Amino acid sequence: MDAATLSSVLQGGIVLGALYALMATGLSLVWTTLGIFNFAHGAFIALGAYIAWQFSSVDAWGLPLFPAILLTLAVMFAVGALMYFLLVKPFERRADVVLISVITTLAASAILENGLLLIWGPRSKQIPSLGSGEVALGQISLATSEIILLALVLAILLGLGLFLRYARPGRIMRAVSQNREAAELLGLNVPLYFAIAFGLSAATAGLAGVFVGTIRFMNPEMGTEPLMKALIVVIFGGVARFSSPLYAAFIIGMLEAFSIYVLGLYWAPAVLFITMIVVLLLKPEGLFGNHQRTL
Amino acid sequence: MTEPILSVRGMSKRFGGLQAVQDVSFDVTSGQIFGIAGPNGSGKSTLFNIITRVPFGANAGSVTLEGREMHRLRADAIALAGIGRTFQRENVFSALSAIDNVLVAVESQARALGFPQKVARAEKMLDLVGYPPTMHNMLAGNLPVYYRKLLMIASSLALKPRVLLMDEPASSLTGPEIDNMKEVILAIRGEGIAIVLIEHVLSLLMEVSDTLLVLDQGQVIAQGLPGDVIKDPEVVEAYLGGAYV
Repeated sequence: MDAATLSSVLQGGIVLGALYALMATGLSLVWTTLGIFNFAHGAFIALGAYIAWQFSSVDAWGLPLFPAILLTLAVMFAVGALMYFLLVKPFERRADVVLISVITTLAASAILENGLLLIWGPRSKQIPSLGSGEVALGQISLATSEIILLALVLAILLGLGLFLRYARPGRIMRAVSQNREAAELLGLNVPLYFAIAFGLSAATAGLAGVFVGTIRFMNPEMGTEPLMKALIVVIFGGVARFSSPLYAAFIIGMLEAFSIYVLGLYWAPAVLFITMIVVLLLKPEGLFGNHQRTL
Repeated sequence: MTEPILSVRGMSKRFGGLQAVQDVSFDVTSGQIFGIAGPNGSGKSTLFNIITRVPFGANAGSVTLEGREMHRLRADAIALAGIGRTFQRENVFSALSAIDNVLVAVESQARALGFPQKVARAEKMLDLVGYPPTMHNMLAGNLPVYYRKLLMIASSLALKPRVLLMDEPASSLTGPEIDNMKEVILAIRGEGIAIVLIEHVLSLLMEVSDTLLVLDQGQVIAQGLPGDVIKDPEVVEAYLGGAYV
């Protein structure tokens, strides 16, 4: 492998890692707060992409891209919060809430994907690129759009981390995720904070969808494969902490990029799943996890 | 007669075929320590559960705090209205520091305060229960049992409750720690807060309670001055069996 190829593979791995980090963070946020897996996360990715297309495309409302992204985030937050009240809250006191939420979120996923098909049709769409041209760093040249994507993802994940660590709602969400009963007894409106967690999760998924939509063609099932990858990242890194999937995302991104180069596109998922199974066998709580889930 | 601050009327809770609490009524006056005793499984903690609606409400009955109906409110609204509660197990936010645990409560009760004032109030609550300042930044999950209990009590006090329901604060504690806990309970009463106290350590319960209520199989079998109640034959039978009566 020559230097240019290595650079290209590394670049691909970093971009994939950033996207997976964004997707897995949302998934992990819902798991660490509510203790359920949201199988509609993939549909949220697609929904975010389509909403951003609606706001930004010259064939639709034609807003500039960055205001369109901000509006998409707001809509996705509202959709996520609404989904919590419709899909999870009615069942959250039941002992089998984990199983029920698998069914309700899978149902929501099917409904959302078919809704996308109904509203926007089957024709592939693409969101305008985040930037054009390339930036040369010595012998390596990087696409401006990838640099912007990477910077935005890192800034958003850092902001989310700081929000959870230092902001009042973040501290309360950490408290609620650790001990629901104690939180209620300290006067905290637990469903409200669960809805915020779901909303933030949907917003990050939607943002990931927007970024995917800028580099690939969109279709209503575009979130299915990223959901699988996000699941691998979350299980690989550990579902216990908010930060665990972040490290895992970049490792998985790199692994996928090198697997594609060495073994080919079709073998890359097998490599990822085998890696996940090995991690589950050797360290079931994930590489960076512990047995207690907490933000 | 003094007006009750907390009135519990006809509270009942059924789990399928099991009547866990049946038609329990009592009044608590301001600054009073109201003890509740009873054998294991007699419905004491369930009674606290249905008063606070954590994790479930009652099938029947009502709770009023200073004349305001509580039983239709959400659990968090009941807590903010003035009914605090601590658990038998140390129910803290284990991945937050001690001071952050109390801050969560301060922030839900006094949103308008500036952050330094909130921290000051959290520190005051920790001081009130005798929690050492050197341990403010320790993670709650790493604290010994006694300090986790103090932390849980300080968090409840940060809501400025009118009544504090304490579920076995002395369980799992050593002798000296039980003595300290007694001082904490009396200090809370000294702040004008009424206390409803469930306790298996009978010496502690007898020493601090002004009134004692005994539950057996979900029903009130005795209520009155602790010295009188403890001699009640029905109470002795509930605790020790018929052979001792």
